[in-house]
Amino acid sequence: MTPPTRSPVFRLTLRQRETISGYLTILPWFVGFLVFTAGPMMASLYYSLTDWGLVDQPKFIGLMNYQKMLSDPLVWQSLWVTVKFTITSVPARLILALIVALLLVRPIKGTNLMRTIYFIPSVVGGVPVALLWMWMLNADYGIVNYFLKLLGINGPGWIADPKWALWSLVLMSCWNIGSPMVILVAGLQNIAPHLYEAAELDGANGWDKFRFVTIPMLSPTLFFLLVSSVIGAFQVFDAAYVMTSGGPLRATYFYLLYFYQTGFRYLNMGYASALVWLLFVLIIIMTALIFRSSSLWVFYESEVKK
Amino acid sequence: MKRITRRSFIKGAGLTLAGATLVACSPSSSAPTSQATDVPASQATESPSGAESGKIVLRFASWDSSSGQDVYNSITNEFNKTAPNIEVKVEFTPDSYDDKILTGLAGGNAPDIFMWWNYPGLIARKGILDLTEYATLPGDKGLDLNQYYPEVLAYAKIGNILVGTPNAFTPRAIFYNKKLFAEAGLPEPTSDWTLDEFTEIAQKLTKGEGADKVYGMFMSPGTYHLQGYIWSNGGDWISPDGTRASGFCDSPETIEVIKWASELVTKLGVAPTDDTGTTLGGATQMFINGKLAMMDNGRWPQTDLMKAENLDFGLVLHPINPNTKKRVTVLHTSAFCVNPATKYKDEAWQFAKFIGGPVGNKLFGQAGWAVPAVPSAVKELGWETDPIEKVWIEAIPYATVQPCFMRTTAWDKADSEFYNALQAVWLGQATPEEAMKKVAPIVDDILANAPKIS
Repeated sequence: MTPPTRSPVFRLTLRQRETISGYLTILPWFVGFLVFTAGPMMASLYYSLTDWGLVDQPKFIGLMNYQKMLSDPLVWQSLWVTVKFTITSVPARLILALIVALLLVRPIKGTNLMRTIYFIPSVVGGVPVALLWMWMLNADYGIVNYFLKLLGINGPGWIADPKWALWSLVLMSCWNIGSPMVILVAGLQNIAPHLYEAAELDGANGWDKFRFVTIPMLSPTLFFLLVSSVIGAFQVFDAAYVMTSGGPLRATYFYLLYFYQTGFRYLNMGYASALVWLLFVLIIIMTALIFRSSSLWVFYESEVKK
Repeated sequence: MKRITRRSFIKGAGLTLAGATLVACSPSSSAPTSQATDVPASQATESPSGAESGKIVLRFASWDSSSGQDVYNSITNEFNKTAPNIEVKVEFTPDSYDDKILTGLAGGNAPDIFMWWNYPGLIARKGILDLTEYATLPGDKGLDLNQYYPEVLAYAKIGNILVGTPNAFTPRAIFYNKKLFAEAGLPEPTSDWTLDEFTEIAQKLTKGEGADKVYGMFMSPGTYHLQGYIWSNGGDWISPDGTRASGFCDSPETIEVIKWASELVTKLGVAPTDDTGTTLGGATQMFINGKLAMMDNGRWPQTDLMKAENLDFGLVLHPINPNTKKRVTVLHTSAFCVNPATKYKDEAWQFAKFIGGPVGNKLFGQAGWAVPAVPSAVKELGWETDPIEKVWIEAIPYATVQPCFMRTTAWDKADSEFYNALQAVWLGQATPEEAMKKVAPIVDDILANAPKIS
């Protein structure tokens, strides 16, 4: 429906105009992506092929950094610590967030207040929380062991004991479930009430409704949270950096901590770049696997189950 | 079969993303790289007007917080009396200082002069200007290196390279709580005490249980403060040339000291565990709270100790090793280094020479921050007769050994291995012999593969 007065040279089809406005819309993000993400990524890919001490000139050494990683015990040790953290903290946090979300989605008085309260840990975050937990988890003076003692239990050294330190950090991560909780609440509220009514008419009890209505309808949300939490857990850094410096006995020596020390303490930025590229590839593989698995358990409203 | 198209994933994720925007304000786990770039904008003390008036503007980086501005202002004011054409802008970066300097050097926008202490890595990579020749310039342009304490000057030199001009520094000594000594019926320690007496006194000073426990001593598993005790016993962490650990860290002399230090915690219980020590606020806080009777430390907490109510403390030199009859201590020093890429090498040297010279050192001492590296400044401040300050001065001549971090470019990495090994000993999971035998070849490998310092 273009005005007839326009010169045909400048006439664009609707499709072309849509295309142009589409690209214009994403342009700000795209420029930011190129400058702040793609550019640095390409640079670090190049640096991973060099011997670079951060303040001197990079020397090209091919794949030597990657070769060195194969025989570097700290790479595998820190990866293993990170994997252990991921496979425990991600499910624990999601299940806990789901339980809290299920409780908070009910239309009871004070729900909003409770949601806010559960969200607070996500707002405080970072170093103060780490310091708080250090106090609570101290073996001799901590409040956690104090309460355990009242129950007649001799509490462990939590962050002081290499056997417990990683699990203490997992426990801490479970305290911070504000973001997945909010997202799950939104997802729960989005489930159409008629589905529950229909289930009730079919004679479903509470568990059935949860298992056959809530979970399938929530699966896209859970899928999104699973992907983002796994990626987040692989990049865990703060708590260990502040509380344990990776100790005791490297029990909490996360991969990114090793990367950071290699680059900024040992002045070996070339090797550090190779370390993060390995992490990047591993995260991509993990994410691809989760995407692959999603066809088995993620259900979208628009699709029809055959 | 169900199929997930890109579109359906986006659709499904759409509402979850809407939720995610709600939490966008929550602090995300910061990637370590952001630590380097997100450092607080440096605060300049002067308005950036120098360039217009034809002055040369130098940037100088300090790891102090801007609460120390007055001291730096008085230094730059004094400096401007001798060099009116140079304006010095002080940049305070108390957090992530190292990262800021390193990324600055990498990106070509590092300050012209900066404080530093861990020289070998930067020297090897030409990140610090060698000032040796500048110091020998004739007359006022050079720097008389004989005016410094020789032990402190040695800490600013690697081989023949002068890495910077010496900043005010601190030796280590033992703070002790006079009241707790009196309560235990013990005479105050004197500088001729031995390590055995020291241990015995620490045991006598330890009392109480649980939250009321008073510890005689503090002994954490770190390589730096243990160096003095190890050197006094004739041992070392690594070879003097910094090329190997075997035969040093696993030598009987070193192991004996590790055994003694760890047993203060594990066997005798006269020093707190790492966990408890950290939770109680560290040695200084414990000392102020009367939970710690003796503290091996530098001069840093002295001002706070003076201010603390109901705390009467003394200072005494480290105990003498009974085997060797020797006392060797370690210093904590730093220097004012010049960025090799600076446009104004001569001017930067001029300022480094001033702030690391008698005037700068004296002003840092006057502020109560550290011990001036220049004896004449110490004399002017009257510290040689002060009952506390004179102990610091007396400690200096015992710093006769070059610390390990100055012998290799890979000390940080070696140190993390040593620390890991020491932690195992402190947790009672390995004997000193086992831990050191295990770590020695690992450190050997690290040292052998380290880039040469020069």
